[in-house]
Amino acid sequence: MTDGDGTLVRRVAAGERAAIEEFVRAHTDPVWRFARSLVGDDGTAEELTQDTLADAVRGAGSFRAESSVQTWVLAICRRKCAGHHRRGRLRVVPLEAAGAHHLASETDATTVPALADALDQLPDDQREAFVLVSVLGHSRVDAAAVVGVPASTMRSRHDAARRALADLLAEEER
Amino acid sequence: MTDVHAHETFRTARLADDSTPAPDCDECRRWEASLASVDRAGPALAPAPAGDARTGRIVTSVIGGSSQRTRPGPRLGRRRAAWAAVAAASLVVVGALAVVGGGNDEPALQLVASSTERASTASVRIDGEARLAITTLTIEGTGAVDFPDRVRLDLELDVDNETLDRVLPDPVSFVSVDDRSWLRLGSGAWRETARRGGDVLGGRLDAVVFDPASLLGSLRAAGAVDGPERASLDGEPVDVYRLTATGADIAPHLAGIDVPGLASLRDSITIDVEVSADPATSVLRRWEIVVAEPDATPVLRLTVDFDDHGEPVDIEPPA
Repeated sequence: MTDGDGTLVRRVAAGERAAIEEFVRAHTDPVWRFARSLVGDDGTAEELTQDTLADAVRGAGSFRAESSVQTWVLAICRRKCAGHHRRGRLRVVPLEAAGAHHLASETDATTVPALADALDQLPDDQREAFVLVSVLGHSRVDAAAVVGVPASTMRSRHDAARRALADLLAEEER
Repeated sequence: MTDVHAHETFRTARLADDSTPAPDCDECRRWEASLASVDRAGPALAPAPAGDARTGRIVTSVIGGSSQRTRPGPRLGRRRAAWAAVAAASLVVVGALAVVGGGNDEPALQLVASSTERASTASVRIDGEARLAITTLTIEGTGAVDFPDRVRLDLELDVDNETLDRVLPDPVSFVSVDDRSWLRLGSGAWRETARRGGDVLGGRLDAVVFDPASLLGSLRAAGAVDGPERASLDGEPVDVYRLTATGADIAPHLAGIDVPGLASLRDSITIDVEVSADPATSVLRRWEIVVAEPDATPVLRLTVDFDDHGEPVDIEPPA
C-alpha cells in the first residue's frame, strides 16, 4: 500500500466526501471488471460493484494495511459475487455479451469463444484463479491475497486451470 | 512418444517452466499449442472498462448511501452477531446430524482408520472458512478438534473482518463415557445423544471430521443423497455428495437438540448439504451447507474446509 492509498483510506474512514468520491472512482474499474468476469450480466455486475464499494467505504475504518487497498477491495468483491451466486454457478459470460474489446489476432477470434466455453466447465476455484491471473492480469501473489489462500495454493489452482483449459482446447481440435 | 506418463511429465514440466521444449510427439505439440492459445487468449476475455457513465452512476450511488451509513451502527452490529449465531448454529446442525443419525451404510467408502485407532491419535486441526451469503456479511473462522477421551470443538468467528468474541460463549462439547455420549451447546444443559452402533468415541463429532460414510448415512436419513460425483478441490480430486432437504426433513433428526436460531426457520427453509471427500482415503475435505428461502434465495452459506488431518494442536482445557 502506498502512503497515498493509506492517506486516502483514512480520509474515507473519516467520512470526507471528496475522499470517498476519489476512492470510488479509483476502484470502480477494477472491481467492475472482476465482478463482470464472474457474473452473468452488466446490471448484476454494476450492483455488485456498488455494494462492494459501499462496503469498502463503510469498512474503511477497519482496513488493516496487511494488503494493498485494491486487494482488500477485490476480496470484498469476491465475497459479494460468491454470495450472489450459488456455488458452481459463477461463470464467464460469452464473448459478445462480455464486450471483449481486443482480439489479438484472427486465431483468437475463434480461440476466445472456445476458451470462454472451456472456462465455464472448470471448477469455481480454478475459474476464479484463471480470471484473476490470466484474464485480469493480477500476479499470483495478489490473486492469492484476494482469494485468501496461500500463494502456493493459487499457483496450483492457476496451473490446474491452464492445464485443464489446454486439455479441453486440444480435445476440441481433434 | 506414446507413453501416457511421458505426456503427463511434459505437461507438468511445461506448466512449471514455459521454456520446457516439447518432445518429438504430435500429442505433446498439440497440447503445447493449446496451452499457448490459452495463455494468449486469456486477456481477451476481460470485460470492457466500466466507462464514464457507469462509473458516474456507481459514484453517485455509493456516495448517496454512504452519507447515511458511513460507519456500521449498532443495528448492523447486532445483525452481524445474529447472523454469526445462525452460522454457528448451522455448523452445529451438520454436526448434530452426524451425531444423531448414526448410520454408516456407505459401502463404497473405506474409512481411514477405526474410531479406536483414531482415539489413540492426539488430535486433528480444522482450518475453516465460513461464508455467509447474505447482503454484506462474511464469516471466517478457525477451529480445532481434540479427540482423546473428550471430543471438543473450539470455534472463533470473524464477521467482515471484525472478530466477534465469544460468539459461542463456550465450546460445543461432546463427552463420551463408555458407550454413552452427551452433547452440550454453549453453556446449556448436557443432553445425551441418541446413537447407534458401538463407536467408542460416542459423540460422533469425529464423523464430521473423519468419516464421510457415517455423515452420509446420517444425511440419507433426511433425504436422497446424490453422488458421488468426481470433482476438483484445490486441484485435487474429490468425490462430492449432495443432499437437498427441507427444514421439515431435517427437524426430526434434531429432536432433543436445541439449535439456537433454527426454530423460527425450520418450517420454511431448504437446506443443501455438499460433502467432498478424498476418493482415495475417504478423508473429509469439505462440507458446505446452504440455507435458502422458499424462493431459493440463499440466506446462509457456510463452508468448512478440513486440512492438516493428524497434525497435533493445542487446545485450552475447559475451565
